[in-house]
Amino acid sequence: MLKNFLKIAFRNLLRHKFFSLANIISFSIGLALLTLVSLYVFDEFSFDTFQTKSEQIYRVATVYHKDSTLLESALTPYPLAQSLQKKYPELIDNYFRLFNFQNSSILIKHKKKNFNEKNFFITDSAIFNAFDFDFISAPQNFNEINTAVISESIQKKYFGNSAPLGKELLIDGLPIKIIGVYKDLPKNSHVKLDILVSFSTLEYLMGYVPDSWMWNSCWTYIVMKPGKTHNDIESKFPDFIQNHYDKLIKDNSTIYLQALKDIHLNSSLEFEISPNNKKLYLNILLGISVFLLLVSIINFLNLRTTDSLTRVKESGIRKVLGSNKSQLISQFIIESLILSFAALIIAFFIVEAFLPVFNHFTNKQIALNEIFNNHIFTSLLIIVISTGIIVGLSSGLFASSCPTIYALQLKRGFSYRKWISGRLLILIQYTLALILLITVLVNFKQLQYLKNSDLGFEVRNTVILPVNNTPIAKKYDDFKNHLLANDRIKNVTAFDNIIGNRINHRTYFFKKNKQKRVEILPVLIVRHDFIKTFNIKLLAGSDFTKDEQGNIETAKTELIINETLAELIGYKSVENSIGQSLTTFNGKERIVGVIKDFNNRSLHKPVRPIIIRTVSNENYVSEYTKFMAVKFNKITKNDLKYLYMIWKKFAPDHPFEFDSLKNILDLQYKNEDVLNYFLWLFSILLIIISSIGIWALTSFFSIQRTKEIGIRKAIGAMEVDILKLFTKDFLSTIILANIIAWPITFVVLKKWLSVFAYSTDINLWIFILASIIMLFLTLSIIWIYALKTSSSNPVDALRDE
Amino acid sequence: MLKTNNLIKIFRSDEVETTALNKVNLNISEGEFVAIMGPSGCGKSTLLNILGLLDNPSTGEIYFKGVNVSRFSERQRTRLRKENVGFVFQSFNLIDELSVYENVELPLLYLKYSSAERKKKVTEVLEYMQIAHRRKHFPQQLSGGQQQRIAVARAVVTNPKLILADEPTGNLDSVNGEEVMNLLTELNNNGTTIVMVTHSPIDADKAHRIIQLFDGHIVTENIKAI
Repeated sequence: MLKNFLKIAFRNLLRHKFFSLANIISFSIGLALLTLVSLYVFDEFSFDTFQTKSEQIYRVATVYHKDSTLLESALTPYPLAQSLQKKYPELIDNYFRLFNFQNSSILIKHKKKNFNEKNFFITDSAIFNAFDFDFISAPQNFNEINTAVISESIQKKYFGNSAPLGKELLIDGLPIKIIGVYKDLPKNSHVKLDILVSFSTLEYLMGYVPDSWMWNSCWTYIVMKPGKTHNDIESKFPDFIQNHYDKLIKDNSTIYLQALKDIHLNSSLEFEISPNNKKLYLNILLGISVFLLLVSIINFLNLRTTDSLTRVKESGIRKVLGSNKSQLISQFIIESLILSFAALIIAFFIVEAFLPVFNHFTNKQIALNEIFNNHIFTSLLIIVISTGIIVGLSSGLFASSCPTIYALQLKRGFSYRKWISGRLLILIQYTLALILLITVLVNFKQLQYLKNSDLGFEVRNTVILPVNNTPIAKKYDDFKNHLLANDRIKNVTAFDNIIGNRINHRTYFFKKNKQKRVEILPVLIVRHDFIKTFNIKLLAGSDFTKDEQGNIETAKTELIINETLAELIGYKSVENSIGQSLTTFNGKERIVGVIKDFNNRSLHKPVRPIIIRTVSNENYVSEYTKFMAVKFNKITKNDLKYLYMIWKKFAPDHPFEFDSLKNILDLQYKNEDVLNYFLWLFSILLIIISSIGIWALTSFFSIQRTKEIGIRKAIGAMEVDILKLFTKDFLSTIILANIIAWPITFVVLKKWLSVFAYSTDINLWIFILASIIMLFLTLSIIWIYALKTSSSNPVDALRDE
Repeated sequence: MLKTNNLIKIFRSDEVETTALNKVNLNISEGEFVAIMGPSGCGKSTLLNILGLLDNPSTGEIYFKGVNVSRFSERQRTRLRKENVGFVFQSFNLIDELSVYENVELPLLYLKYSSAERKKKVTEVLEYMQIAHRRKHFPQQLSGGQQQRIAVARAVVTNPKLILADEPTGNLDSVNGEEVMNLLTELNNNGTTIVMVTHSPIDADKAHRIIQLFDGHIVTENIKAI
């Protein structure tokens, strides 16, 4: 019996090639997308879960909140970890800190090899007990100064195949002995650890044990005692802060714990150790891909039902020959199952084909076989089998429900108007497609807005050179003059942090309404020509004054503030602020200029007060010269060659690295980029699936109404009348879909855009554009079908009497 | 009104070729009532379809009011058809989803009559057919005889010069059948040309001329004295 079923199933599917193919394609698109998104989402959710102690490990985060100043940082003061453990030994098992001078990279040399390494940290030995390290050779005594443990890939990079133990790497000029090697950590770790240097080295370098509670300098991780959670300790933190923190900040400071597993998806603090993702985005992706799968299942159902219509007669004959209803339905179920499994196999091919592009966009290394690791495969099987059964059952019921006698005579025992479910499904499908299309257009507009909006400073044609710890930082003026000798270079400046990206904070004292106030304010330390290079508008006062030698850094400390800060301090006007002083721990600093606000961080967040200042101590100035900004008229390849040439002249031992400021700032929207990439993919696929769905319904419609159209044509209906007839039937569905989709999308988008402090407008034209795109697509499909139907000879339609 | 010249219609499927009409020559004058008879499959309906401009001949010519229409496109034929030809089918071919009124109104819609004109004409013809009280019903709520009367109403509502009837009484009992035949005769008396395919000698008897078809040929033409 089963053999017979299968034989007939294959014949049927081959006979209706077009329908079978449409079925398989739309369902496989839905399955492929769900697979792809699941792989991505599972990978994102798996961050740090591989650590055995992931339940016990927490990172400490600090919050400073005073009036309009809110500083949420992933960094903490040095003494925090040790003091916490000392105070709560019954709760905290151990701790470790990560410190990297807050530099994005550090120069590492071995013989002729030298690279800027990003994943370098100074840390405590407890890290080896807290995290799961797979040692190739375990370190004996990590507490010794000038010792390091490195990853296997770093070993290969610098030492090739020779044993590295006991050998030395020059880290920022300091010889460090390798005492251990571990296998590379899994990719899905929120922190990449390649070179770990003992904490005692830092204390040796600084000449003292750092003990400031005012400087948030390192990332702090604590390991809780087994069975203890953050709930057991967080209530004690207010007391702890009162007892330990500096009196200047303790009333406005709080600390809290972030579970290790939550960092990657739930943390967006300043000074994150590496960029994180947002859980919201993953939920959006997963939600949409499930929607898309539903839409493709709806199609499957519609197409199969349409197909079953053409087989009413077959069912009738089978019934006459003694087949019962359940046997008929089994035939349909087997056919649907064959189709859904074929769709699954094709889906895997689609996923495999898309993965390289996908990995490139998401910066991951996901492989298809990972579906076996995390229940994705099982879920897909369940989806495929249940879809096959449900679709087969309903289309089988549809075909076999027609009374035998009608089926044989091919008379209509039911009416297409009764097929409400089909219309409802198309309505849902159309509405979803519309919602997604509008969303994608608005999201695209928002992304363009984020990347191209006027930040208050010029971004384009600016090259950023990391010069931290290079000879260039020390010979800055000489280097700058060499650059300016090229007339293609308009301006050159430098700062301790890249403008618009991250920023350090400093404590300032001032009087407001005769009250003494303390504020921790963002401070960008710059070198000369900063305002000129970025074309920032000066509202009052002047740029930094130069001394006789034209050397800005030796001038008495001068400040330039933005208008928001002027307002915060309470100056009556920007002009009024000029000449006023702010006090620091090191003395008074004078305001010489007020600039128009510029966006000094990503547009997720609003403009905040900022102080632009220089460093007056010549010994320190090179330390704050971490990045140089070189402004061109228009960058060409030759300009970069010129930069390289000058660089090699000044720093022959240092690798030449550069990036455009635009790239660096765009990177802040990496998550939105990935999301947008997905949304485009989604909407294109949804449009394809919907087109197949509309095509199915149109074909259902025309099969059902072949005779009616024949009659209408016989009594004089022209092509245009038939077009109208087809259109009228869909128009109500289309209009209804618009009525449903517009308000829903508007609400969703409003909420979505509120994630950003600055957002584009949701314009009516986007809604109209999306509707027109969908309408055009739908009408083309319907009209092609209607023309086909109306150009056929009415006799053919009437002949089947 | 209608003239054919060596009309041939061949149907082709993959391997089989069937000649449905073979060199049919026919001349139907205005105001005539012609019955076409013959055994099943002899080509009666095919001939009627070609005469009614629903189909094109394979070769040969057909003249409609003196114009050669044998190579007209579907669009041209439709235009000619909707202004000049009314159809009555054996199985009525009413549209189930439309009410009696809407079914009859349909040809007027395609001729772009104004709403007021449509209302007037439909009401007139329904009253003439004595079925005005059923105007809001749907076809399936009516008897076969009533349905065929509506089909006739639909065929005549545009005042066509020519009515083609394909076994109009085939699905009706004798009482209803006679009623429909009386309607057709009355229309003919008022000047409408009628071509009717039928199996019934009694119905054929009402025509002026009976054409016997066999295997696609015209075998005899019986002209009755009027």
